[in-house]
Order: sequence, then structure tokens, then C-alpha cells
Amino acid sequence: MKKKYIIGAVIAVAFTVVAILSFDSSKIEYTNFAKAKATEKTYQIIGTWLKEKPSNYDNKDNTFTFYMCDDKKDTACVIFHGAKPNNFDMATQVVVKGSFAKNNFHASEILTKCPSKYEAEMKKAGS
Amino acid sequence: MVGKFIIILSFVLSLATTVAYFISKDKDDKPNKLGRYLYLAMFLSIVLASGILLSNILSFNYQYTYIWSYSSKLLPLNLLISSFYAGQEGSFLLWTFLISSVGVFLLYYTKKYNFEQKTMAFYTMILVFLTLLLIIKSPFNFIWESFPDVNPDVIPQNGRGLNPVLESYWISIHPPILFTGYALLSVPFALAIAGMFKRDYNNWAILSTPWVLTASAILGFGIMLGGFWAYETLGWGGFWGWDPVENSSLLPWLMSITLVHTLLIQKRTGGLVKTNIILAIFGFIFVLYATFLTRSGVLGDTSVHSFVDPGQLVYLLLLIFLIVFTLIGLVFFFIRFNDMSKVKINLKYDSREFFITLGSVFIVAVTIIVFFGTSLPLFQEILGKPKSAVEISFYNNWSLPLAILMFLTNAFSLYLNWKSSTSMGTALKNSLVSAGISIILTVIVIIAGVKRIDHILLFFSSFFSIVINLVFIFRVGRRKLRLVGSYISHLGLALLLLGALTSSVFVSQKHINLKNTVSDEALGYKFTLVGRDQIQKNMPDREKYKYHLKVQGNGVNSIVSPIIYWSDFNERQAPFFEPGIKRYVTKDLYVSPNGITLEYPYPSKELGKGETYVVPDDTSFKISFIKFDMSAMMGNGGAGHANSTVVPMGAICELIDSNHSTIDTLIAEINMQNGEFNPVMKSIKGKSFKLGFTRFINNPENIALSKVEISVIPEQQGLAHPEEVISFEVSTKPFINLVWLGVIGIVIGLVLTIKKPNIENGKNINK
Repeated sequence: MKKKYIIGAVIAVAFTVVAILSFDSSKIEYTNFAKAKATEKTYQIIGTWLKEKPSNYDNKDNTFTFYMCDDKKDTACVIFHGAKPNNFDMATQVVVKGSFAKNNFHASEILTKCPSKYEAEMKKAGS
Repeated sequence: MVGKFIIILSFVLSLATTVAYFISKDKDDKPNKLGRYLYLAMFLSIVLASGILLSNILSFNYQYTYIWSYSSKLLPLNLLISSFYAGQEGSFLLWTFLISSVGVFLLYYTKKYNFEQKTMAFYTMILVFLTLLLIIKSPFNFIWESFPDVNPDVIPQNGRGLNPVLESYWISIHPPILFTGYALLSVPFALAIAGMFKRDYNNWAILSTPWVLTASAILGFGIMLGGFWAYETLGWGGFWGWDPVENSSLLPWLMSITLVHTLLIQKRTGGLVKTNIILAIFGFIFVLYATFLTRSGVLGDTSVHSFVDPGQLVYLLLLIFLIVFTLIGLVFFFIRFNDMSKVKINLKYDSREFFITLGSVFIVAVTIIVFFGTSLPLFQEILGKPKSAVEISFYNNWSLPLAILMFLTNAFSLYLNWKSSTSMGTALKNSLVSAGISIILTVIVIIAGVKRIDHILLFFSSFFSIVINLVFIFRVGRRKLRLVGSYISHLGLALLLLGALTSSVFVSQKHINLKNTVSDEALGYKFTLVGRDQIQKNMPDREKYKYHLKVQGNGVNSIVSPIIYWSDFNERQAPFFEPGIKRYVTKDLYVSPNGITLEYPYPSKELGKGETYVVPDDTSFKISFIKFDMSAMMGNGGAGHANSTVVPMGAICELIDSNHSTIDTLIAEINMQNGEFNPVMKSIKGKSFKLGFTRFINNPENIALSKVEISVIPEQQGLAHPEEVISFEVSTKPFINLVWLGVIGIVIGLVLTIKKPNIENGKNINK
């Protein structure tokens, strides 16, 4: 019985160690443009879309380009490899995942956070 | 008012039920009988509350904030009913309704097997929390209560309606089924705690088995319906994305499936007593954890599913809910730990129970991986570290080898017997033929082009599992059909993972742009956009079209019809898309629209700085692009443009007619609010055409390298409307049908295995 427990424990510890190691290596941190620019690592950045700057979907290359401002008020051009997400115009917040190359943030994923519009609408209805 | 009162009543009744059941000492004593009546009264009050909400939805009563927020007069009946649980308040009510309904069955079930008092006491405690949650997060708030500055006389004539993305028949079935699965998992939890309370560590397990099987079948089915919804309607391209919301529903299912195996071992050998208790506890804790993750807004930045912050109070209550039940489970577990350790079993390596245990360990390992991956953002926040999330590859890299091990374990275990009555050597010999067949199949797959060793191993192990389970289905099924459940489930699992691998790894995908009646080739098919039909014309809040794509090639000649629509929900700012799918036995052709661009139907050319365009119909005329004039855009244009939403952008060009050259600026007016781009046509003296700056092609790498599109338009014509160019992702997904077939197999197998617990009335049960 004892031997069995030892073997089990060794396997469990090995599994945990490997899991934690792989866990660490596949971690993608949330950060800001300044920090992401310093390396070529993949990061996620939360910010807002700068609507006053040009944005464009190029259907030949299938890339959507826009300008984004992070929470430190730094601005960068984001090139998303895909079409414009359909709730992009409504979003109060965008999260982009990717890395910097030549001063542009190349995103492989965009998450958009949409507001609950009830408050504003209700105020309109009530007045 | 009535609704709120009934919710409070059901809270009081659930509290009273719990107390009565705790006081009860003997079967059918006064408190026991009282507890039953109280429970049924509580159940009826929840049914009543649900009925009130539903009838108000159906009678379009928009003075309730909840109904106004998620419902609308335009919705068809099935979606109207679904708007019951489209938001948090209603989904809590649905969950409460389902748990209390399941409780009615549990009451009579436990009464029959003499396990009623303690089980129902703990079970009803769950309802105490849920009804409390409903008091705080009530679906019965009036508009003027939610928005204090709104005049109470104002009754909205219509609701905001459902998010159009949710408007499909899937919302009618996926959430209720998933929630039923969740509700069923509270049963083994209550039975396990009652078992520990009564120091009865065996009968609870026997009594739990049919519930765990039912929960596994229903929850598994519910999860997969969500996957099918994402694939079929939402156009996410796949059925599973390892998103936190998906993962959090997977965790309780993994626990439940593990429990199916370990409960069997306890029944056969008497062992794994503590394991089963802990698994039953965690099955339920993970349901609460899923609720916490998806309802508290903690994963707001990491999931594609939308969350609304429910408010501090609900967040706290959910957290307390989670902590209290975790504590109840674990405290009981540690109090009874020594008591439960009395039973010892000796797992021999060559026994079936050893291999099933091993398989269970692998499922638990997957659970741990998914749990830590999903919880990482939360843990980082608690530890005060920078927020982070894991990559999708983390889950794939771990689940693939674990799946391989699971299949090998499962396949091999079938040749072993309980309590090692078959020797390892015999088992190995018996599995040789199946192994041989699997190797042949794997070689075929390798010849077909599979290269990665992990993929090859997954192919081999799932073939091995499929072959052996098929053998047993025929061998056992001839004797008794009812016994084949587990083989069908394992066969299903192997098919599911095979399909998941082929449809995601061997997918071929291409981006194409199509104009009406124009063709493009991709993946060996010729795609032609042949037209569109407006659908749902009677709905004034939307403009919805079916676009018809003719697909030819590879022996195929048919029409695929993806959907593109505009909705008032986002003020028609951007279109919504639904994929078109052509289903074949061996693959799906998946056509997913993802963008619409407007292009002018004239000869045109993209020009970079210094580049020249020779007009096709008049080769003596050339246009050379010099540079942009963005002075107005950059705000240098003076105060005139400061408040204007329409800003001109200029392209300074050299126009060369034979040898005569002039410098001129072609202008386009850009609406900064909606992005509309309107070229101002420039007539050319003595020519039958005019020129237009019809598109700006932004180069983000270097703004100086941006291009202009110059179009040549016949002089006598006005500027025609630009044509729609639709972008599609087209892909083929090989053997995706194995996924759906596999899930059906898993579910059917589980259902076949459900049977009445083998306990005679009252007998065997100690106090």
C-alpha cells in the first residue's frame, strides 16, 4: 500500500509542476501600449476606440484598422486580422489581443464590451 | 407588488422548510410532515411567481423594468417566452423554478428510500439562497423604482427587445436544458451531505447514481446545444472555444461524469467513499462557481459572452452563496474524514476498478486544467498581480494527451474484470485484434496526411476505443440491450473527439469578396453571388436578407444561403451575420459573411504616391497621384471645420492630357460620424469622363504610404450608388458530423444506464 501512495504522490506532484510551468508560459497578461511596445510578446490591452481617427476595413487583405487609446491615454494603431466586429460601433470598451510590430499593434482577437443602454434611454423616455 | 410579495413568501417558506426538516427526528413525525407541506407550498409559490412573470411578458406589461429590458411586442411567441430568462433576474427565477421542481421529485424519492429529512433540509437551503437572491435582484421591479427620475405615470408602450443575436430557436432550448442539468447536480450534493450527517456513506451513493446519470446526460446535451448554436447560427466557426463561460459549464459536467465512474466503483467494491463525497460536493460547487463567474461580471474583460455588472450586493451574495456551500461540504467532510476512512479497498493493477479509477483521475486532471485556466484572471486579481488570461492552446495541449490516455484506459479496461479475475496477459491478448485494426486505420490516416505525433496518437487511441466498444456493443447487446449504455457513451466520446480534431485541425479556410453575379474560386469551389431575398419582412425593426451563393465544383452544384441583417438594436450601424452551411456526410461547407464594403462600378485604380493611372478608354489621359491634402482633417482648416461632421480630404494629382499637364486636387467628403465617404466629381474639359477620389486606402504602417482609389466615370452619368462587396470566410470542416453524432451517443448511452436504485424500501438504511 505504501508504495502505491508514493507512486501516486510522485505522479500528482509531477503533474502539478508541469501544469504550473505550462500555465505560466501560456499566460497572456493585460497591459498597456507602452509596456507591450517594449517587447514582441503577446498581450491583451483594454481601451477605447478613437472614433475621430480614420478606421478602415480592407476587404482584400481582410484587415480592419483603427486607432485605440489605452487606460494610460496612449494611442496606437491596431491592425486586426479579420473583419470589423459587428457590435464595434456600440462598444464602450475594446479588448485587443496581439503584439507590436513596427509601431502597430497586430491583433488576432478583439472583444467588445457593450453598455447597457437602459439608463440613457429611460432618461430620454422619462423627460 | 404581488410578484415581489410572493418571492418574499417563498423565501420565508423555504427557510421554514429547512428548519422543519432539521427538527424532524423520525420518519413521518410532525415536523417531517410539516416540512413536506411547507416545501410544496414554497414550490407552488415559486410556480406562481414564475407564472406572474410569464403572464406579464405575454400581456406586454412594460412597467416592469425586467420585461421592458428584454422583451418586446415584436417577438414571436417562442422568443417571448424565452425573454423570461434573457436577463439575470429571470434566469435566477428559472433556475429557482427548476431546482424547486426537481426538489418535488427528490422529496418523494427520498421519502420512499428513507433519506428524506436531512437531504431535503440541505436541499432547501439552496432554495433559501436563491429566493434571497431573487428578493435583491427582483424581476418585479417597476420602471420608476429602477429609474428614480422617471415619472411613475410613464408606462413604456414597447420593450427594448431581445438582442437580435439571441433571436433563434436555440434560445428556447439551450438555457432551460443547461439549467435543468445544473439543478439536477444539486441532488447528489444534498444526498452526500445527508449521508455524512447520517454516517451512511453507501446508500447516498446508490441513491445518487440515477440522478448523476440524468444530470450528466442533460447537462452534456445542454452544453453541446450551446456549441451547436454557436456553430450554426452565431457563426463563430466552431462549436467550442474554451471561453470562460463555456469552460465554467464544462466543470460541473466533468465532475458529474467522473462521479458516474467512481460511484460505480463504490457500488462494485465498496471503495472510493471519500472520493465520491468530494466529487458530489464539487459537482455542485462548480455549478455555483459557474453562476458566480458568469453572473458576477468578474470575467468581463476575458470572455466573448456579454456580462452586465449585477451590482455589489448580488456580487457579494453570490460569493457568500459559493463560500457557504463550499464550507458546508468541506467541514462535514473533515469531521467525518476518519469515520469514512474505515473502508479500505485494495486496487489491484490488473482489475477493472483500477483502470476505471485511472480513467477518473484523467477526467479530474482535465477538470483541474480547465479550472485553473478559467480562474486565472480571478486568481491574479486576488493576488494583486497584473490581470492575465491563458491562451487557448493551453487547454488543447493538455486535453489532447489526457484524452489519449482516457481512450486507452477505457478500451483496455473492458478486457479486464472486476476484482482482477482476468489476468493482464489475457486482457492484452484479447485486445490484440482490436489493436491491430486500430493500427491499420491509423496507418491509413497517416497516409492521408496526418503528420503530428500527438494527432496520430489521438487517432490511434480513439480508433482503439471505437473498435473495442463496438465489439462489446454487439457482444453484450445481443444478450441484453440495456447493458450497452456505457459502451455507446464511450464510443460517442471517441467519435466526438475525432470530429473535434478533424474539423478544427484539418480545416481549410479562405477569404473571398463577392459582388452580385461575380464569381470567385476558393478551396476548389466556384462561388457566385446570385442574389438575395428579404426575409422577416413583417418585422419593422430589422432589414434581413438571405444572400444566395451558388457553389460549384468538387462534384457539388448547390446554393448556400448565409444571412446578413441590420437591426434597430444597434441603430443599424453595422450588420449582423449568420453563416450558411452546406452539410455533407463527410464535411460541412461553411460560408460565413463577415463584412460589407461599398465599391463603385467604374474603372478604377489604387494609386500610391508617384504612381500613374492610364484611363482605359482614353490612353492619352493619365493621372499621377502626388500627395494627400489632409489640412482640413487635421484641424488646420480653421474654425470652419471644427464643429462640422463632414470634412473634406484632398488627393493632389497631376493630370496629364497628351503632353499638357495640370496639378489639381480631387476631393472626397468624409462624414466623421458614420464614416460615409462621398467623392466630389471632377469634370475634365473636353473629355467624356469625370474623375473621382472614390476610396481612401489607409496604410497604418506608414500613413505616407496610404493610397487613393481614382475612378473614371462617364461624364453624362451621375455618380451611381456604390455596389455592395461582401466578404466571406469560406471553410470546409471535415467530419464535423462526428461531433454531433458523438454527443448523441454519449447522451443516449447515459440515458440507457439510468435505472432505479437497488435498495429495498427502508431496508439497509441505518439512522
